[in-house]
Amino acid sequence: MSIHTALSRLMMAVLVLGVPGMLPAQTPAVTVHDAWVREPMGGRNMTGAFAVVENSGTTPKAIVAASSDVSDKVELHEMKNDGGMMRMSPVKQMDVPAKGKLELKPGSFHVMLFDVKRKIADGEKVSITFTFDDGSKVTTEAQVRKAGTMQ
Amino acid sequence: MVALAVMAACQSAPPAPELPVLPIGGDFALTDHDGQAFTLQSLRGKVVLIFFGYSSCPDACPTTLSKLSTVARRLGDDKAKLQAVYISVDPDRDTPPVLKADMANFSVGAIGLTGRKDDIDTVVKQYAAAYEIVPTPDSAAKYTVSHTTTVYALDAQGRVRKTFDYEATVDEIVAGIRAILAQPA
Repeated sequence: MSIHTALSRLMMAVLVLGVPGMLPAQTPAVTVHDAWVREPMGGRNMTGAFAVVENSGTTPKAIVAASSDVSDKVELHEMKNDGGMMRMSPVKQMDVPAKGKLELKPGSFHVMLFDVKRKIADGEKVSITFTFDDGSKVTTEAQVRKAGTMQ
Repeated sequence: MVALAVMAACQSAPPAPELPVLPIGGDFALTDHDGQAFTLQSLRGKVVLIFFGYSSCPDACPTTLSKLSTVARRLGDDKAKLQAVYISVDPDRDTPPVLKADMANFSVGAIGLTGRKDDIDTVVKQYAAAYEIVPTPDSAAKYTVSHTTTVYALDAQGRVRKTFDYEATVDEIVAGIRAILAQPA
């Protein structure tokens, strides 16, 4: 076996078996999709951000923080309609069950952007980054949508 | 059977069912968003929509104000017979100028009302509404106000004839207002 053949066999082996760190990145366990930000209503400089967060892994995850390019004061909040009483409160984390998903939506868990730095309008995109309890981060582009009235 | 169907078809729109007068509500006096004295009596002759909120409310209040703006547009000419009234349950932050600026953002043309906490609390009780100031020291909001989101619809005599919860649609509210307008005086 020539050196050349041996080298190519070695290369084949590396290609087929791979070496740690050379593998193509696996599909991350947590993905975020359908992210949107409500166009701030009524001259307010705060608004909510929403998305579907899916966890395909077998370990439960939790969102522990979020950030955005349009706000330095981003918080995790929950809104609850408690027998007609609308309650809004900051939360420390939002759980994403294993093999499950968490839907961030109006009237439920969501991300609050306070002191929004500039006027954001329907059709624009803003960036939202979610930080999880294992330290991983997922950044997504969120579409700004006008969604004031329920019809 | 045929006769019944024909009769039904010949009838014009049935008279609006009589709406009960709900055992809540009543007159009150507060301060409007121009800093002037306001009394509910001054709105006799109009259908009045009353609800409670606060101007730094991030979600529920602007949603309701937007929805009522759509309702008012949908009423067409009857819009002139409608007046929305927004009572702040956060008088510390909601001074008349703050309320005025907030109301200007919504085309429903609501009158923003504020006042002394005691006076607001009396009105809250009259309408069987509720609110709660919740300190959130770690949040940029500093405190939030949990509050009921019911919209109270009053007839031309100032009596509560219908209430709408947060999930009520524009169609339901428009139909409710028309039903109140159709009531015999």
